[in-house]
Amino acid sequence: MILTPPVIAREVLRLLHAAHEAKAAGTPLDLHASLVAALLGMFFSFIAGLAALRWLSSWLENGRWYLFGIYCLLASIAVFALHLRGY
Amino acid sequence: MSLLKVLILAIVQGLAELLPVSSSAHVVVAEKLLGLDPTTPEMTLILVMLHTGTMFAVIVYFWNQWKRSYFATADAFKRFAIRAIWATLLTAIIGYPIIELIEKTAFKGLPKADIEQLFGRLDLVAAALFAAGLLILWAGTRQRDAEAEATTPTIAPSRALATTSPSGKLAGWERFRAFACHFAASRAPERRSPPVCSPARTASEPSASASLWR
Repeated sequence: MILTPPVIAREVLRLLHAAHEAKAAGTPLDLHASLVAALLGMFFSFIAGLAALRWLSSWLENGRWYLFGIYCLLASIAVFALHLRGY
Repeated sequence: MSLLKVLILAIVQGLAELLPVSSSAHVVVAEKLLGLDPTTPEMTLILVMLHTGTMFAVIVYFWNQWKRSYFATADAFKRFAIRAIWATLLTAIIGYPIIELIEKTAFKGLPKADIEQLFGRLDLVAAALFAAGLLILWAGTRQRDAEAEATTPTIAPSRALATTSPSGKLAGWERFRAFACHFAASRAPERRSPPVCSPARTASEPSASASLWR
């Protein structure tokens, strides 16, 4: 929470800098669309997070956490396969 | 970027944030599958804002409990504030040199390099997920051992702030105390509350997790 505002500021500055460079290169970025997309993303993830909290909390309470370890191992293999396929 | 893609990324973030898996990794992979470039400033801003959204969701969800825990008395708030500041400082002290190190070694020779460029490396994401999986499995084994010994765990408050859920389990915590502290330390330091993370809770006290997961 404390680090969030500086991190957001860093990313906004990075975006502004990229927009400035893109404009100089003759390929301007749609800054407005990027900022709107970011704000919409925050709103949607807020809703999704709240829904997931209500939905998953009871399941997590009875869940077996080692399954998440297995999931991470399998996910890492899948992600590495995606990497090999050029993603 | 279309509204649908933003919505998909938000759902991925919302679900993955609550599980002991890397939400950033899941969002980055989803971006790749959607044909987006996670290293661009637009996408890294969206990634940060997605995390901010779920952070607010957690704050709203746990607000009543935290209000009782953190703002009940001036002393409780002071304790919380000190620990939150320590958690933030420790994160910065550990994280910032790592960022500098990566930018000066992995990106050596590149005229302009940001740590965000690593988001495009799925091989690194895969390695990080693998390491997280091993850590969770190891933590689960340790937890079972700890439960078998039926001992009451104790832990220093400073460690409570610095932990995530697998490391919390390695430290011998019960599942939801570790999970709550994972939230508190890695997403919003305010979320960590003395009833959840306090080292002093004994077996005779009611479990914080019972009220935490209502």
